[in-house]
Amino acid sequence: MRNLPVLIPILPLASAMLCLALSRINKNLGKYVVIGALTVSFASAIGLFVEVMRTGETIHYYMGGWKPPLGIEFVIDEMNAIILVAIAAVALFVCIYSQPFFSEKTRRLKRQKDNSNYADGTTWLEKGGFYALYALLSAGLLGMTITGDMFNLYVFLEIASISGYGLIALGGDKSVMASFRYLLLGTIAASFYLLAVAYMYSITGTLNMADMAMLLAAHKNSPNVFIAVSMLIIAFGIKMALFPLHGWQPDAYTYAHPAAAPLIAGLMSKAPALAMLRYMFYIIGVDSPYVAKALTVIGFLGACGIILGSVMANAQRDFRRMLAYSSVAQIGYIAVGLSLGNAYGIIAAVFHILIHAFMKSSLFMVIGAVRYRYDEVLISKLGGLNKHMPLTTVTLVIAALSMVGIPPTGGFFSKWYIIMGSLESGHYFYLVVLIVSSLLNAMYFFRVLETVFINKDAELEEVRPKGRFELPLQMLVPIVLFGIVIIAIGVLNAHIVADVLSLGLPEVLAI
Amino acid sequence: MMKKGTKRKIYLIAAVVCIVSVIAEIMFAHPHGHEIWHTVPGADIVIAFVGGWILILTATKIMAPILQRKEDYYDGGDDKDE
Amino acid sequence: MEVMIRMNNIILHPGIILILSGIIAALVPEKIRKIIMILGPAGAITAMLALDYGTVLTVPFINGIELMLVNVDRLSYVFGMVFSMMSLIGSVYALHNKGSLETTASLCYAGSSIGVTLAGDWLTLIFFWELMAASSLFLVWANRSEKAVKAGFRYLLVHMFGGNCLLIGIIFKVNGGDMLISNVTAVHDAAFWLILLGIAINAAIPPFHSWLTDAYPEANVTGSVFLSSFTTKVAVYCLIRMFAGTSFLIWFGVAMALYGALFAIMENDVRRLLSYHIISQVGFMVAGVGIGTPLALDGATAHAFSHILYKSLLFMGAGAIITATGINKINQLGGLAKKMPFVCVAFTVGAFSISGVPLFNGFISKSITVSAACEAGYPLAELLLLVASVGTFLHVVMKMLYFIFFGEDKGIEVKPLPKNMYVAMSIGSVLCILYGVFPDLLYRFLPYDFEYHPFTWDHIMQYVQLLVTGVVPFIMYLEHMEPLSKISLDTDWFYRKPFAALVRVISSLCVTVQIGLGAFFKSIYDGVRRASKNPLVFIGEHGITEYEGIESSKIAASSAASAISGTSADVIADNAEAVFDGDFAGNDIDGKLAAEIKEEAEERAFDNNQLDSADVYDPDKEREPIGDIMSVVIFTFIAAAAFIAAVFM
Repeated sequence: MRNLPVLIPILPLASAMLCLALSRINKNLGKYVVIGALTVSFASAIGLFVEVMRTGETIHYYMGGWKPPLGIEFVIDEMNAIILVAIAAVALFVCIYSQPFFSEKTRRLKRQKDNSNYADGTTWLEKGGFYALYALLSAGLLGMTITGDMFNLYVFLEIASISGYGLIALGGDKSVMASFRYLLLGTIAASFYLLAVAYMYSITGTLNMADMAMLLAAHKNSPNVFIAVSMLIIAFGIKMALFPLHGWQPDAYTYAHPAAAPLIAGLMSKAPALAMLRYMFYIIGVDSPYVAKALTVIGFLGACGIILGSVMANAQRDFRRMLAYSSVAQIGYIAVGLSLGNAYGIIAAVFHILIHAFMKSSLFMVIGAVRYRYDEVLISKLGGLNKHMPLTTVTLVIAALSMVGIPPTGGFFSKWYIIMGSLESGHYFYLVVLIVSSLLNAMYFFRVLETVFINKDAELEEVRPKGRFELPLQMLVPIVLFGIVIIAIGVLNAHIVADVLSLGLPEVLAI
Repeated sequence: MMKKGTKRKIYLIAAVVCIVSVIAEIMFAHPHGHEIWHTVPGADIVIAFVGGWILILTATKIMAPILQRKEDYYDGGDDKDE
Repeated sequence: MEVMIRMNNIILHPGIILILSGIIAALVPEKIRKIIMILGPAGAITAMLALDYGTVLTVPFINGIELMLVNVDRLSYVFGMVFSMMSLIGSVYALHNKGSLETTASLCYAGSSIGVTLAGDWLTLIFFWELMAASSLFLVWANRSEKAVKAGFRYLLVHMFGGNCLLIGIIFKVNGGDMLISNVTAVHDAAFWLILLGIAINAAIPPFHSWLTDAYPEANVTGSVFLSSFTTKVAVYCLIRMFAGTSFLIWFGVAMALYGALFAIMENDVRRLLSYHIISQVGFMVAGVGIGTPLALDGATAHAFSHILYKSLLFMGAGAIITATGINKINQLGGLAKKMPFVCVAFTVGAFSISGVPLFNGFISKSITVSAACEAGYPLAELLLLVASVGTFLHVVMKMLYFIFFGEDKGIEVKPLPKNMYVAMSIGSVLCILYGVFPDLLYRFLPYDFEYHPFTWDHIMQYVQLLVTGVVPFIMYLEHMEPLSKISLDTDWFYRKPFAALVRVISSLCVTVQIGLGAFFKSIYDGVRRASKNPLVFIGEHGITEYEGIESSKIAASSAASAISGTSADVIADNAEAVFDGDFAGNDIDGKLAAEIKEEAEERAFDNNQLDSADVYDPDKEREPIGDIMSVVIFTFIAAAAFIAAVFM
């Protein structure tokens, strides 16, 4: 129990290392080890969450027993704990979901479309490689969320990024170029982050987040902080695809490997967003003048991203690309929530991180499932999906309604909190942006729903051997589960906000 | 359309009903309004006649030429994307 | 004061019963679905009857706030009653439908309407309101025609906009501490206007009414019956509860009544005429709300009650005509009285009700509003409302009955109708006549105490004179009354023509920005690609010469600068076009970029042996990777510095 925090990122990391070797022995062994590691991580995350809720205290874990500020520590407070559970859940279930893509029993009968040459081989190298990268990505994301040390964050950020680049490049077709573009920009981002850390280190001499928060209090007006903040905006802006640094995202999400896309799209931009929250509100603190200006910038860029993302999403024919632009808009919501600077804003941002992870992953799982069966990704070809894949369509409807913001799904409540935050802080401009983007969101998501329910059947050709259910159970169960979770988060949002998120707010802003 | 004979019959019936109703109103009704059209019996006849004419004329002579278009007016550039 | 009775089980909420039956109907086979279509509404009616005044159901929410899901008082009870009755009648009418989309949509729609009606606090209200919008959208779409799809998208946009305004207004209120729904007339603050706007859109108050006349005629025949009964009446309910006494609403209501009447006189499409008519009648209700006296509010309530019954009857009749003949234009119909006698009778019942002929239920409700106007001291409003009544009689009774049923026989073929349509129309007609003859059956449920006797000589004579005299201008003008085969432009012109163009402009702007950014990043990619291709050239001796790298660096610089400082779209577009032809029409833009890069990459395939003098010394194809790398690094830092400077200085 005491060591649960370290298990969460380390187990997937270890399983990633072992995965390739174990796959050599038995093709599926590596996969099972990864799934096992992720399961233990998930259980540990739940355990930690329960613990934090029970005692109400932040858990500190010192790696190797070395106390900070010299040692690396893992910190779990209420805000962290629930996001950890979400990340672990998504990682685990998407891993389960990915299995039929690499299975011999469900090999494709034919390849017919341009977009169909994603990696789906069943040799030990391909299987082991995919799951190793996947485990690395999960480890990176979990580590980024749980760590309390600034350089450790960089390490996990890079682990997540590099494995992400690999997973995107496995998607075949134009994915290599997309991945390379993301690689360039992601490396620039990581370098900026490192520079920012260096600047902050140079005046305080510590790399521990809590320590830094204490020591920076004396240097609120130092130019180092100024430079660090601006570099952090660029760094996290690139990683979370904040306008105008989002150019890598549409290609990356579109061409990612369909089995890994749910994890990449759902979470890879969220962990940096959480990190930005940590920095702006916890470490540097909102009472610094630079942070206040930075938040204004982030809010404005977020608003632009909301509009741009929603407009561009309307213009897309490929479902994945539409979802990618929609992510730009959703990250804009998170950015706007952060920029409001009051309690409701942060609650809105974190709640939106939580719900968006599930919404986006379920949407990518749905289109991945459609691609799995029919090798089809165009929206216009989704007609009559409700007859062929009814349960998948249910999740599609739930996720789409949630993204538009229709109760009782969770998306409605994140809209609610952003509006409350904007009203409280007096930023009425964001309300207008929110209304416009709601309309745009409604347009492109309801267009999909209309195609599915109203248009006539697209009569697509199946490319895999038929199973008993519409999809292999390993794919179907996560899809249905995520649909339920989206509604559950919506219905339970009161508890989540009151009992969890409000307690984790930085002291300056307690409700 | 209707024959002239049918029209005349309808006018006749209408006139008879109106006269009967005016008589009934004078005999039985107890108006409780303050305005002129509540107290004068048969005022509603005037309201209906004049009002009806104004409505018909406005709709067919004034509004229709301005606002009416061919049935496929919107179909040329009609976009889903508004 | 009312006694608070706690409701224990949320399942007993009639709205939830309907929503659940809608969801179940989607999952079960065809035969069971028909049973659910009857059982669900029947269950809802039973649940509604079981609710006493003062029943309350609360659930805890955040921060100690409680949600009041159900709050039954006299007002919500009467509306809830008529909504549940209507769900049954509509379901009976729709029994012959195949496919479950419409059933699910209509039952969820009816259920969420009841949910809004019974809601006690703002959050519950907006919750069911959005559900109402979403389910009615699918009901419009259920017709599966191209027109229905497009009309549905317009409907969606208008309702999302209204719903968002309502949401923001409600959050204003909740922030200010009011959780429970109450009359907001007192202070005309931002919350007041936003909530009013949201509700006004649903109530189809001009100029926000065009979604109604746009979408209702395009829906399915059976769907229109549901659609006409719920959205606007729920909005009227909300108006009664929240805006009673807001005096400017009187004039809006009067204007609505006349507006609807005028447009209906011109209209040719059967259901569109009835839709304009909804606007006209809702105008009476809105005027009643504006007047605000108990008599007026009762009038609005009674009118809403009756209106649901007779309007659905009219839509059912219109639907029967359309189903039987396949024609929905008045000027193509005629002489159907002999061929469809039952429908003719039912339609006449509905038409007489809507005009306020005594002994039908329109009379008992319309006259209340008119009297209330007179008593409260708005004689001009009363006069205009009477004129609007004449207009109603003109174009529903006279025009439709004459031209559809009694006019010249155009030799139209009539198909037989499913039996359930007859049953539904009979129920509707019976109810109209029943309430018309025994008005107390309705009056005893009206929320406020009042004294009103509809069957006085005064009132009867008034209406007889009005209606009979109203015939005369119609007959005199008969030849010209036949509607033309045209459509009327309405306020939806504003968002169908010019606004669409505006949206296109904004979209091209966004696309341009995206392409500009793409150009910027492409140049970074180009630079690194060239540098990484042949690192040995790093140590070459050649100076920076004119070549594509500088060209693209310039473009990159200008795009970066413009992306940051926001110069006009034209500049970006020009720069972007210099790099490649931008195709704005929604094609796979970045795919095009990728294709071009791929093409280029393939052209300059890396080959170790190509490092020969021809390649290196060719002045046209000179590559200077140091220039590339330096430009990449410099531009990244310039970008960062400009960014910081723009923000912090």
